[in-house]
Amino acid sequence: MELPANARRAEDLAIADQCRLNVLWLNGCACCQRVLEIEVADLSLGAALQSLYGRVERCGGLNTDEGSSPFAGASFDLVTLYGRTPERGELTAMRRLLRPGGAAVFAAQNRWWYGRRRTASRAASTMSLRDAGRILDAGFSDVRTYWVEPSLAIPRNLIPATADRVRDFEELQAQDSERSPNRSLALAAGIRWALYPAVLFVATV
Amino acid sequence: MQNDTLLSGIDAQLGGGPRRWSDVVVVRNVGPLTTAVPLEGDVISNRGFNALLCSAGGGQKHFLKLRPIHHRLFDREATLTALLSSREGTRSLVPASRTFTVGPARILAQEFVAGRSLDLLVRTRHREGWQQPAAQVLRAAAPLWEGITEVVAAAGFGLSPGLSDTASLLADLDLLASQRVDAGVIRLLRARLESAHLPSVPQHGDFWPRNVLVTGNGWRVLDFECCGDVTLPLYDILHFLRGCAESAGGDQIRSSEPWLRAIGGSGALLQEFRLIAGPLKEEVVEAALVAYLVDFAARLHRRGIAPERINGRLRELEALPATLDGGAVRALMS
Repeated sequence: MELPANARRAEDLAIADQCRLNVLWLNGCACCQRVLEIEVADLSLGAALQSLYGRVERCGGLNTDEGSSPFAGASFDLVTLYGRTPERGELTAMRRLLRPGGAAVFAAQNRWWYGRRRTASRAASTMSLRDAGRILDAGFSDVRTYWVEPSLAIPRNLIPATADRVRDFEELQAQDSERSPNRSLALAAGIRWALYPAVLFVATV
Repeated sequence: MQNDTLLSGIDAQLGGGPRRWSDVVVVRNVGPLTTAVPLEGDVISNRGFNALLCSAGGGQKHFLKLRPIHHRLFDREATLTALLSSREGTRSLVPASRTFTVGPARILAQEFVAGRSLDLLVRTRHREGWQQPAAQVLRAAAPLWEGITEVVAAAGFGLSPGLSDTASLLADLDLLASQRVDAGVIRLLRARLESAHLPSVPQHGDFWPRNVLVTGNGWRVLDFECCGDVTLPLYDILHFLRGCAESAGGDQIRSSEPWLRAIGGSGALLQEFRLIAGPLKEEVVEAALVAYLVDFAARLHRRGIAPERINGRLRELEALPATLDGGAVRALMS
């Protein structure tokens, strides 16, 4: 797993995993019997998933051809893909693997994150709120959308992506004095969404 | 799903439901709520997360602290906050709160008070004159320390009356000696701590400008997780005043002398300082300053804070004998 930008010690990795554990728990993903992680090298949920569920199955990607998939349909309670955009066929395959009541968790960098250059290679590893529509189109019945900061590796703040809650969050942040110049600049420019570096979706069947 | 259990459990306790997932904003996610992950010492002082909880209809908001069932600091904060909010003199200083359990989480729900931290106000509006708002806070918060002494004793959190634990301070000093603090300074500070008998006085433990909220209806003091854990006299007031000076200055402090002089330079602040210091003798106040700086630097070190962030604290300690010899504390007490 790649170290978070501000990581110095092994403890930082432990903290990152523990933060992500809470995110899964908060989203009702704590009582799953069978879990599949589609692994992305940089941001594998690794130890966090292992700690919460005991046993986790892993794969590098999903075969979109139903006939040659090693996994039976409707056999998982939770499928996670943390760190890159799911392809169109992959979304459908994830939906197919989930039992009724199951959930899929997707998370990736915000495509429009302030200060990041947009390149063709980055576009493949980023997501934005607009991807919620793609997820619903794949047959999921509901999608919860969060902004995450400061990073997917250490999700300290989890902000439901609704205008009211973003305002609530910013009111709380204003009580704190550690405000970056980027924040003031983005707020002044009216591009609030550019402040939040990552998005997280919890899609239910 | 468990999320529904969490929200319905909160709704049952607080009313104002039914809430949806989008009514919960997680604002400080730290350690595991669901499973025990062994991390020793002070590496993580908090486990779980804090959240802003909104009512379904957009009405009353709560600030929640969700912690694992057996969290070491949770019961202390929940109990002491409840006791302080039930006392006449301290009721207006702490947010009204209640405690309950849902699934694997112990939850402290406090009324959400809109406001700005004193730290932010000092940085943005009072850089030149932080002494005035600091004096106002100390005047308003004066009943707090009497209240803390009373409720810590009532709650029975193992406070032993008498003298503060000099042995643990000396151990802290040894810890700092290993961080390249001048050996001669360590000897001088050790002598100060050994000769002065510090009384044991329970403190808030984290009373600094960021934990003081300026609201439209006075001041609120937040974060009682360490309340009563620290029993060094004047710890809170020294931590608070040093914090104000640091916020106003914007730079790392490398000597105590300027901020001690700044206290003496403001009549109102000096009056509040003397009222809180009360009958303590000058040498006890000097030892209390040594104890505060030693304890706090050692605490940061034990928490695994990066050495460069503790460096300023260590340089301040090294300058302390000269500061004391220069009469900075004497000027406050005479």
